[in-house]
Amino acid sequence: MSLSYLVRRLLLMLLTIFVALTFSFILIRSLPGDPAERYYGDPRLPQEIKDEIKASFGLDKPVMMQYFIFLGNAFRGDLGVSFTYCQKVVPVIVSRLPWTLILTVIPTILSMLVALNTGVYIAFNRGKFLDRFMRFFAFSLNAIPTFWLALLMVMGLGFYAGWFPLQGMYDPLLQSGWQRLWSVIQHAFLPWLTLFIISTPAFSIQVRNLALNILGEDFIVTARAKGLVQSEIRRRHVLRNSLGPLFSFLTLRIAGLVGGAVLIETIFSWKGMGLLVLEASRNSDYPLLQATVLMTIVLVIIANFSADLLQAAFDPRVRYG
Amino acid sequence: MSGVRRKWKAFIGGFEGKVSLGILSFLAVLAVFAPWIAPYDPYDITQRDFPLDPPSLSHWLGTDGFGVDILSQVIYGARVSLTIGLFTGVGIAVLGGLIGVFAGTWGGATDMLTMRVVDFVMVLPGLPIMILIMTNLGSSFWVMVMIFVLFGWAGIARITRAVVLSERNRGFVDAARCAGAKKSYILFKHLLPATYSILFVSAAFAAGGAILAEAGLAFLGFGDPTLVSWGKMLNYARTYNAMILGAWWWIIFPGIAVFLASFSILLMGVGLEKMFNPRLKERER
Repeated sequence: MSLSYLVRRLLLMLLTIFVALTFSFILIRSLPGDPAERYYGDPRLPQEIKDEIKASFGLDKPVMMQYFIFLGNAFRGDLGVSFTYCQKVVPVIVSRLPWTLILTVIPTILSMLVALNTGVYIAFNRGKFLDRFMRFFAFSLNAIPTFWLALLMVMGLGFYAGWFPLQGMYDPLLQSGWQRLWSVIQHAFLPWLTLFIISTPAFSIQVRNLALNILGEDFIVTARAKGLVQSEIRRRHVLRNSLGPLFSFLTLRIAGLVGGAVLIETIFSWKGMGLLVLEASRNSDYPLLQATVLMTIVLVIIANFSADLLQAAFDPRVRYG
Repeated sequence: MSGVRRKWKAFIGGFEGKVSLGILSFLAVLAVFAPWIAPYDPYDITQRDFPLDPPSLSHWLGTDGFGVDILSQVIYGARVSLTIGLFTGVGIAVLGGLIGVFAGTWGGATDMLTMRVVDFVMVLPGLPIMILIMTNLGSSFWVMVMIFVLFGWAGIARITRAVVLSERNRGFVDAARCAGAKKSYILFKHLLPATYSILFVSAAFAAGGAILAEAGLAFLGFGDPTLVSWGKMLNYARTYNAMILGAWWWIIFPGIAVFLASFSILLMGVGLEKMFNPRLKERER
């Protein structure tokens, strides 16, 4: 990969993060209510104490000053203090981050791997039953509320069948590392399965459409003419060429995946960033809420950046185009 | 008029048109005539029965943990879902369409800036930001519609802009320009009508998405507190531990309702797409 491409993408990502910071500052400031007021709560406090609290938050300064202070603090990794945790918000959020990643990244990678194979397969068997069924299935899944599907999974496989724990992240009684890891996998299985079921058909259809385009290309005719067997064409030409564009499709889904984690994490009591957003909202912990939302946006931007890099790695047209 | 009739025939003749219109008109009848169709009034606190009654003759879909008839709630819930879908679909089509057409017509720096904003809005994770806004503004029907429109216009703006860009180099636009037509005249007379078909299709998809999003937000407890909605039923079912109590009917039926509403509208989008663009049909074979 050329260095200039990397640098260009990196700069664009930093710019987007900067825009996200500005966006969230404007959003928070334009919403009604005063952060200091929320902090002291009781309106009967004497005015001097109110002013003092206001000053300690820096809210007595002009808005532009506040914006620059916010930017400076944000780049130093300081996004305020949580009311409920009584500590800096960033460590709280960072401690939740790996759990959200475990929940979302693993099923996404698995479903992309599976979709590459099923997608190419149904492209080669276009118009047959499996192709038509997959297209209808993928379309119908767009209309199913993900959280409801998750509820059904918990009810069917967790409650009635009793195969999986209903919620939580691991059994806290288990002490040893391996047992705990196994426990995490058991607890994560249902959310993984839900996300896998939701995304695999969509990815498959995307691969199928890409593969159909590729099958119309001249180099496929050449490959056939020189006597390459079907399986080799599938592997070397079709699969290889669908990989890059698949990542660009992934970027369209990342925002929904990370945002939708709120719902999945709520159902499974999975203490990731999504549930943190909800907890902060319930506790009226405004600094924590704002910071978590901002970090979620930044996470999505970074994930998009990585997907773009992967696309470029697999598709030379992107990095030189 | 015959053009409209032909289009209508093409729409209703296909599988998508029939099924989607069938389900949708059924739901719409439920929503409009809810007080006459529903066996009980879910808002009336005196019309409560035993809690967690399984489906029976007096309560076809059972009762929830507060003794409210599920069937009646599902019927009344259609009102919220369908109106939210309608308002969001129309709002997104108008806002996204206008922004897309303006960006495409003006071009230059306006266009570039708009498209960068579109790129940015499209990667925003909607749900957490919606929660942030609703925590501050409170949850109400109109706040929800506003948020959905604010987060949904970007995709449509991009598509309309693409249509405008391809249309504005066509002969009749050049002719109008040569004849001395103003930019605004070309915009409203030539470019905007070219985007109508794509706007209808996009509005349908947006409405289907809005129904799902409303259900999701209501499930998290951000639904309008004064209205019965399917997402809110599921929220109560979860907080009341309906699953552990074995009340599967409390979880299954509202979800099916959400699915049917969203499915029919998405299907209508596909039907409209095929109606406006008959070549799509051949490509699929």
